[in-house]
Amino acid sequence: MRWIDVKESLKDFWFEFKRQKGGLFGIFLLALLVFTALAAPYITEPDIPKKWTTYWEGNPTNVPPVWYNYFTTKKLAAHEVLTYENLKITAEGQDLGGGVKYYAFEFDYNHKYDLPPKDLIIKNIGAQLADLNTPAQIVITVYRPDGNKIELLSADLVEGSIYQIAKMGTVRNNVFNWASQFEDPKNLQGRVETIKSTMDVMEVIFAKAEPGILINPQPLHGDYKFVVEIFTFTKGDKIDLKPVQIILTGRTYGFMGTDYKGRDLWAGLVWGTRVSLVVGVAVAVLSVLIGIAYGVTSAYLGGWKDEFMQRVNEFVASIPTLPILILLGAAFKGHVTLWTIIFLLVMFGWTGIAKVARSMALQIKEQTYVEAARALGAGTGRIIFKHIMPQIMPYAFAVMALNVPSAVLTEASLSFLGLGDPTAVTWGQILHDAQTNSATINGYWWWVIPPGLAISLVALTFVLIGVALDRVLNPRLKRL
Amino acid sequence: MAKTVLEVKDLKMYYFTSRGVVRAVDNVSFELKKGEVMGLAGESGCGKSSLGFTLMGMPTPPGKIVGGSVKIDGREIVGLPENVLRREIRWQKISMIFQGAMNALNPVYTIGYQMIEPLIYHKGMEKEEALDRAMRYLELVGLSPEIVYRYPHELSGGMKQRVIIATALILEPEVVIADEPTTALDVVVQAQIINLMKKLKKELGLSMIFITHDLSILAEISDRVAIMYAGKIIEIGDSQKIYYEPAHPYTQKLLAAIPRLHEDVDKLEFIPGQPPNLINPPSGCRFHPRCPYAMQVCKEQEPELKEIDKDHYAACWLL
Amino acid sequence: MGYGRYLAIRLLNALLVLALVTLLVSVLFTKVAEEDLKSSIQEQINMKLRANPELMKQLSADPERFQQWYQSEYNRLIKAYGLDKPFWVRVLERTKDTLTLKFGNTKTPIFGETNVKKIIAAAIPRTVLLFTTAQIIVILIGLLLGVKAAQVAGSALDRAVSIIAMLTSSIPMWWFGMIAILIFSFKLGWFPSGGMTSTPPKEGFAYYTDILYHMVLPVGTIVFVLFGGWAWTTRNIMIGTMQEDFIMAARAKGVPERKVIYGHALRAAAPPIITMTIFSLLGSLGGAIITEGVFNWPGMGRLYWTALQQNETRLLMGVTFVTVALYLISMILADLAYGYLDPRVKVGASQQT
Repeated sequence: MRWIDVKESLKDFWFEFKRQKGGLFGIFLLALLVFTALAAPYITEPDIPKKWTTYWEGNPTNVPPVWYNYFTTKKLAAHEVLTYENLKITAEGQDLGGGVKYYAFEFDYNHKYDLPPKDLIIKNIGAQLADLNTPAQIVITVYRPDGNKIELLSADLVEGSIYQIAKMGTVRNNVFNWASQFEDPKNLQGRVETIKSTMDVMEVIFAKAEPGILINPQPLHGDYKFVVEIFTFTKGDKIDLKPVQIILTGRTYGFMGTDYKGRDLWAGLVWGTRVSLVVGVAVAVLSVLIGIAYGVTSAYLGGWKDEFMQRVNEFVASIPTLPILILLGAAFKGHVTLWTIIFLLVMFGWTGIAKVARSMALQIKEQTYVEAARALGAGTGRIIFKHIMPQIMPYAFAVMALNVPSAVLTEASLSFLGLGDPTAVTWGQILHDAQTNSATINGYWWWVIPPGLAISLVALTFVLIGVALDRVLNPRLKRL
Repeated sequence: MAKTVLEVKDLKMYYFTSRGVVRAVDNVSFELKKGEVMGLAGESGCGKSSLGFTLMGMPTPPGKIVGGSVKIDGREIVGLPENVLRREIRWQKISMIFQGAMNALNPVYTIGYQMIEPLIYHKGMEKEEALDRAMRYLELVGLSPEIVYRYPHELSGGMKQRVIIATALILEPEVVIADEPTTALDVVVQAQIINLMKKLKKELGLSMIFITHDLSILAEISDRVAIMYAGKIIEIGDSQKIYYEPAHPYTQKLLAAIPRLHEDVDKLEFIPGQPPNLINPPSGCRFHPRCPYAMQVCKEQEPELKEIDKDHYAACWLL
Repeated sequence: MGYGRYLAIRLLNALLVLALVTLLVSVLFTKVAEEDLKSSIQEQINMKLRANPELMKQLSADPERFQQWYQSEYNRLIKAYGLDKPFWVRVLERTKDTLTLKFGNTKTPIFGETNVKKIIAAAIPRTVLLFTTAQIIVILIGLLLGVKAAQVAGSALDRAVSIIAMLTSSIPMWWFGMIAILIFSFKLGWFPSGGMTSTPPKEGFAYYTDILYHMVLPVGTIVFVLFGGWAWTTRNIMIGTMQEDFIMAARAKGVPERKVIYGHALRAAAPPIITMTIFSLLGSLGGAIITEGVFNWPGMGRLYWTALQQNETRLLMGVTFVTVALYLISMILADLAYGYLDPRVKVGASQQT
């Protein structure tokens, strides 16, 4: 085939393809997907795949995306992380006499939501203690906009201490005791223990001081000042406030919310594009190429060799893909890599196209020009390449495109069952986590809907392209 | 004088495609008398098959009859609604013998089922009676009656063609259109079918339009011949006269192109050029680009059919 | 070749596949089971020790004697589990067992049973109930829609069918099940989120309506995802068939349009339609099974989930074997149907008279 011929046929092809609106839309989607896949490290962070299997410290878990606030009446608090620069240091190593040193800092929080942050976490206070038997003391107080103050916590401080306001028992007690003074005693009768153990500590801290504060807290908006005071008692104790981290665990996070490990689902979504595209396209291309090679060779060899190859083809085609893949996945659980999956899918995927390629090759083989070529002394390989392949290849592209969706869906199904590559970021795997953590029953729609939509999008893209290519390139279609 | 079973006047049928309007049948007129076989000849793509389907009132989509009249046994069928055509005209008044190359037999039904369909729908016959009749017609075309129980794939090409002939005759219509019935068959079978049709013509007094591109066949069977070119009839008349005294240059060339078995052939005669584009036909006489005698007037004005001899008409400025 | 020979070849093929798949299953199983059993043996020996403090005291005093005792215990148990036989012998034994449906037992009871065969026997009818019902609905809707779309090819309805087909065939069935639960169960509360019956199960007639009630979402999911594909396949094949000459010939003969479409066209298109759709339905058997898992329907799907989550290897092997067998049976049925519907296969090669 000369280059001019190729250019001509490409021009003709494009002219025809342009008329397929679905196909053009598919190409557009494909461009979008490829862009997302390539730009993943830039749209999100570059190290996502490495930290994907861990818990993401500091992120809230199971929270919806930030923009969800536009659609609800109850506004949810955003996620905030404060560091040294955000703090107002009021005392740093002030000597109070008697060997006691005093450190203090404060930070403001403007509560404008209906639901406050899920938790307030204070950590990474650098504490170097000379005597571990005399730890430092930390006191955390909150000054509310209505003038009330709550002493949340008074506790020991050592290196690596983490204080989680919403989770600590002592804080819970303190808050309950403080709030009871406002509560209607009737509401507390006989239910003190229940209320104390089930109340949302953060909601109460940020609630209006009125009857009902413990059973139905109403948000108190305004500026809250948190004061943290640290006392050290031994000479040589050093407190370093620079690495401090204050986390106000939001009830929303990010573009797509988080899952049970606090992972940013937006990042997961973006990075998953890579897997889907690579697996889908690799499987489709490889199976079609292998299938065509098999079919054409079988047709060309003819005779009993052809028969035999056809029996083998039928045999492999009779094996149901998914049950066997599930079995293999279960047997090698945890050791499955993406390449294993690609390999297996190709092993099952070549049979259909092999049959079609064979019948096409058989037809072409009967044509006189092949005989002519043979009469001229052309060898088998040359005949296959110069005469048979160029006629099959255009249609092959259509078949490749049409094979991608099933590859993508099968890989997603395997990951969904937990049998995929555990180190890869795939949408099926995200959905697996969703299912095993009852996301549907709990209504975590941001966890359930987007990954499936993404899978469907990739499949749809290739269906559109494949159907359009098929309409233009299928040699069997009658055209008026 | 035998009655006229088919009268066609100024018939126009065009195909409306995305590439333009194809003037497949452009102002065609002729008459067919009872018991007469009229051959319709021409190159591929001249419109003869289109004409055949048009006469049945079912031009192949996207074709439509845009003008003229077709009267079968005195009844006008142009303009009749589809359900009337289906119930009263098709197959009863006019039927078709399809091309052998066509897949005209449904592979999943038996021969018998497909033959008795018209009997059941048009005559309301009982299945037994209809099968009986089908078997008689099979015998008429030289086939064993038990073929009614066979499936199409079990028959050879020649046998299938005979079945199609039998099916076309089963309602004893006024007019039968034979659309290239022998084209897909080898020469030996071809001869058998032609003989069969001659026999049927004699025994049943068939009125038939025999469409073909092979003029040598028409000599055997037709009483009259019409030559079509680019959607128009350019010569029509008694077949003897046309064969021995072709008037139109095109007809002359067609006849000359048939190699004679007993003559020396140095060079095969052929007609130069290609069949005309029916979307944009040549101006004036449509044959003029390929005509060796083309004159100025041929390029400008279209000739009408002129009587050259008794029952011999041609459309050419030379005459 | 005749119908009989055609069937025989298909049957042989299926049996061969089944045998080889079982072999593969057995190899995997034997390998996995070996490791399972070895650790189980360790456990047993440890338990024996702990239950017998006297023995333990004696043995810990004398390391050599301990070794000997341990070794003999180990060997004894290895022999009891048959692990001393060579690998391939074990594989073949397992193959034989599987083919004769001796699947063994699970570690923990499932559906109140440990015998794998009984568990599967209980699960199959429930899966069939769900899947077959859905399939029938899919076929009815798909056929009607497909034929209609073919009749009005190029129209808005036809294009709508194509679009719907493309959209729905891109959706993972099990994911759609999750969405259905999210919307209709969690958000709207119209339907239960899973299971086949309520707890506690209802009595009498209400028992059956309760099951129907639980079937709505899963069946709806399966139908929604599959009907588009079937409609589109039917439409395409019908359009191809309608262009055949014998359709035109039937019309020329004056056959009423209705008969032309449903009689001639559909009937001629039946063999490829049936085959293509059976294959596509078989293909989605896997997806439907996963969907069952999502809905916690107590059928084969749930067995798959449980087996995977709880590492029940014997159950997994049994379920896989049955699934493959069912798949092959449907394949044979499809071939049977095709052969019966296409006289070219049924009656055999053309006879020249």
